[in-house]
Formats: sequence, C-alpha cells, structure tokens
Amino acid sequence: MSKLLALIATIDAVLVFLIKPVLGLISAAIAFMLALGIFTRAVLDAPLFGLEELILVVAMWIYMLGAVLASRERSHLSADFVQVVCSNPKMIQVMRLLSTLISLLMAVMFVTWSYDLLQWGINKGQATPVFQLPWYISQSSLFVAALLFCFYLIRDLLADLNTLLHPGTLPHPVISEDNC
Amino acid sequence: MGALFAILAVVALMMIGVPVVFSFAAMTFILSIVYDVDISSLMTTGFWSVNSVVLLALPLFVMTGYLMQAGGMAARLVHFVEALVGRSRSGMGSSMVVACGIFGAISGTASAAVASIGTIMIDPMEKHGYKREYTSALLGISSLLGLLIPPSITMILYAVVTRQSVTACFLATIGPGILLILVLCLMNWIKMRLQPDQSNEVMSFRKRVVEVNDNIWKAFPALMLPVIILGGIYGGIFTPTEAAAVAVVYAIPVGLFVYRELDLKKTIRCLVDAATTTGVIMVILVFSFVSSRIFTFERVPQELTELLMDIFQDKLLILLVVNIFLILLGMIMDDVSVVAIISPLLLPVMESIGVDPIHFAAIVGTSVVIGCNSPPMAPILFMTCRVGKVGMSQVMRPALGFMVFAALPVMLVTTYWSPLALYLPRVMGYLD
Repeated sequence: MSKLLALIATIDAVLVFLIKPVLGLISAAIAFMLALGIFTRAVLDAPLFGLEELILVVAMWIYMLGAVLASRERSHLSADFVQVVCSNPKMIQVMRLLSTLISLLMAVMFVTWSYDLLQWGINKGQATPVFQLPWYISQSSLFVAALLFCFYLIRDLLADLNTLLHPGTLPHPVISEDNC
Repeated sequence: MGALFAILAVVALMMIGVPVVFSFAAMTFILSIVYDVDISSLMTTGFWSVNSVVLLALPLFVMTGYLMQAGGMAARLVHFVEALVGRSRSGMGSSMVVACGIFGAISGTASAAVASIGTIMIDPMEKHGYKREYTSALLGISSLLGLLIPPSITMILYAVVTRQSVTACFLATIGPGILLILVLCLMNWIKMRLQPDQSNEVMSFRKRVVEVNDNIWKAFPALMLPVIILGGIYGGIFTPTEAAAVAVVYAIPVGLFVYRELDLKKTIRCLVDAATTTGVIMVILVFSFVSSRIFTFERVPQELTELLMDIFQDKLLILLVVNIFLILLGMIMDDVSVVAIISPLLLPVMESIGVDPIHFAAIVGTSVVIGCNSPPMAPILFMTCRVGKVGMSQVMRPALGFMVFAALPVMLVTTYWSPLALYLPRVMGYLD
C-alpha cells in the first residue's frame, strides 16, 4: 500500500505543478479582462464585445480546479461533528473511512453525470455568440474535476485504511511538497 | 416526504463528516431516485446557473480579501481604526468591531477578517486587560459583519439562488449590519465599565489627532477600496462583479508597489487560495441548483407553504418558526448550505405571508450570523479559537453572551421590523 500511496503522491505533485500556475493565470486574467471592459466602456466609450463570453468559458475551470485543490488538501467544507461528540480514536477513524467511502461513491456518480453533460454539450454543438467558442470547453471542466475528485478520494481511502489497519503508525502523508 | 428524507440524509451525512459537496451530491442522487428524475439532463441547469457573471463576484471578492491580508492593506486599516476609535480599553474592542465592519465592506467574507484582524489585535488587546477568550468571541461575532456589510458573499449566493437583485440584497443587510456594530460596541463598553483595570490607558486628544493623522495616510490606499467598490456599485458605474474585479486589480499594485508586502509568489498564492475557497462553494451550488429544480418540479416549496400555513396560520408565528429553523440549521450546516438549499425552499412560504424576498435576504443573513458561531458546526468560532489560541470551551461563554444579547436581538428586530432591511432598497429605487 505504501508504494501505491507513493505513486499517488508523485502524480499529485505533477498535477499541482500544472494546476496552480494555470489557476493563478486564469484568475488574474479574468480580473484584468473585467477591469479592461469597464475602462473601454466607461472611459473610452467603446465597449468590448465578447469579453464576457471569454471570461465565462474559462471561469468554470477556476471553480473546478479550485475544488480539486480543496479535495487534495482535504479542505472541503465539512462539519467534523464526530470529533466533537466522540472521543474514541478507533470510532473516529471508522467514521472517517465511511465518510471517505460515501464521498468516493458520490464522486463516481458525479463522473457519470458530468460525462453525460459533456457528451450533451459536444452533440449539441453550442458555441458563444461572438467568438464561436464551443461551450464544451467549459463543460469539460466538470468532468475533469469529477475524475480528479475520485483520484484524491481513492488516495484518502487508502490512507484511511492504512491508518485503520495499522494502528500506531503515523498516517501516510497525503499531500506532496510543492513550492507554489 | 421524499424531499424531507433527502434533506435529513444531507444533515446525517454531514454529521458523520461527509464533506458538504458530497452530501449535496447524495441529496441530488436520493431525490433522483425518489422522484424518478434523470440527473444527467438536469446537470445542464446546474452548469448554466453556476456559469454566470453574477457569481464571478464571489471568487473576485474572496481574492480581494486574501490580497488585502497578504499585501498589508488589512494591517494599515486596523491600525487606522485603532487610532481613530482610541487606545482606551473599550476603544480597542470597538476598533475591532469597526475594523471588521470595514473589512466586510471590502472582502465580504468572515474568515479573512478573522485571520487578518485577529492576528493583529488579539495580543495588544490582552496587554490592555482583555481576556483572550473574550477577544476571540468578540472577533468571532464581529467578523461575521462581513456577511452583512456589502459586498457580502452570502447575499450574492442568496440573490443568485432566489433570483433577486444582488444590489438590493446588499442594501437590505446594511441596516442590520450597522445595528450589530452599534450593539457590539455598546456591549463591549458596558463590559469594560463593569470590569475596571489598572492597565487602563487613555490616549490624550492631541496624541490621538497626531496618530490618526499619521495613520490615515498610511491607510489611505486601503480606505479607498470600499469607496471604489460601494461608490462604483451604487453610483451605477459598474456591477458588483465588475466592482470585485476592480478591487482585485487595485489591490495587486497597492500591495506590490505601495505597501511592498506583496510579491509574485504571494500574489499567485492569494489567487489560488481564493479559487480553492470558492471552487468548493461552486460545486455545492451545482448540486444545489439541480436539487432546487427537482424540488420545483415536485412542488415541494408549495407543499411546505401549505403545511406551515395549515399548522401555524399566524404570520408572526411562522416568522418565529422560520427564525428558529434557520438558527437550528445554522448549528448543523454551514452558511453556504443554509443559503443554497433552504432559501429557495422557504421563499414561497415568506411570499405567501407577505414578506418581501429582499426582507427575507436580511432575515437569512442575520440568522446565518448566529449559525456560524453556534456549535457543533461553528466554523468561524473554531477559526477564532485557533487564531486566538484559546479552547472552544473557554470561548463559549462570552460567545453565547454576544449571540444572546447582540446577534439574536438584531435578527429579531430585522425579522419583525421590516424597514430596517427595506428602507435602503426602497430609497435607492430597488423596491416599490
């Protein structure tokens, strides 16, 4: 299991290396494009057409890649109610494993739903009005995010299992080092 | 019945630690089975609802909060407010409340305020005789002013899920927000009067003028941010989303070149962190929109309205029940979940008893303030405990005091005295 977790950590490092700069770039680009739109409209009195659609095509990628990073860091919003009411470490670990398992099942469902959405988008061939950019560019972000949710949840499941089966050992590090 | 089962399932899943996003996915899945609906076809609704320009304000305002924090703007702002409100003991507590209010007028989130204001103010306040648990509790409740003072992320979410005007919703929570500031300052003043301390240090007027004069110029670029955001929105120059973008574009050079506390690495980290924070909310929203569509197909809001009207009949009683319901939900669900799922369900109930949707926005906003500070969920209170380095059990008593004597009365006044929420939207022409 340790080898598998090490492999996952390597893949994770590659993913983070790719995702973080892309996220930073897209986020900054969106803010600057919106500000540029105001400037051309309010100051130059020459509104830029198509800016909004460009922004919307990439915005979904920010949300989905952001959510993937949250999955990676296990920082999705959650209640942590079990830790408040239960002091038995074994029970906490079992509940943690159960919650990861349910999350994984739901992530698999999300893969099928988002795949259907992507397929619908490709078949329908909808595109933006000005630049004729296909909307499936944006829709594919949901599918990619769903797949990556599964990837990180499998990692979490293995790590939780490892902790449960080998009590006393420290949990396997689930996040690789990154410099960003 | 199916809807109730699905909502109970979400609560149960969240309580065993399933992240909100997957709990919502499970709710959608259960609804699809109970009502025999094909989710794949409804995913388009989720996608198009989230892929909106209005919702883009969310990541951009969160980015502004992070950039302010990392770029030194938040620190200058706090120092200025501290100088302005005074270095007396009660003044320090008030300056924390006011600083949170101003911070809320920029970033719209509570967590950024907790992190930046808490790290700057808790230690100096302890030197002035404030107990850490009291300061942490005050910070916890004050930081939630970010949910009331526009631009508020909660109000953006409410406006999107209930299809109301974002600007009108922003205006609706200004009154309750200001009332909460006043009540908290008053409570703090009374507390400090009742607890005399030798370390009480009052700054002379002349010294204070010098300090304010010194700090106002340092804080000037930071103070311009709420002016740009709110002035731009209500001056009709730009939309809330555009205001958020302008705030980001303004905060980056100020942090880089004016305060020189931001660098490229920190900037990228802020942008990535903001995307991470909002990405989670957006996926929740996708499932929330899909579920809401199923609820609408199955006439769940109408059935709920009929049920509540049959049982309670009286408007005041229904409002009280809704208040209690929102507080209880806030205790076990986070603010995003409450707004995303409960607002569209309860809005028809509110409309049927003559409550304006904009008024309901303020009711939801003030209820969420209580929920965010109420265990077991209490995300903001947990965060203030970490920042203040105190235990949850220590902070609970003062936190409960602020909730019972400040947040709860503000919620009740907002609920039962609609002009507090509706005056500004009416004056600004958003309501008839």
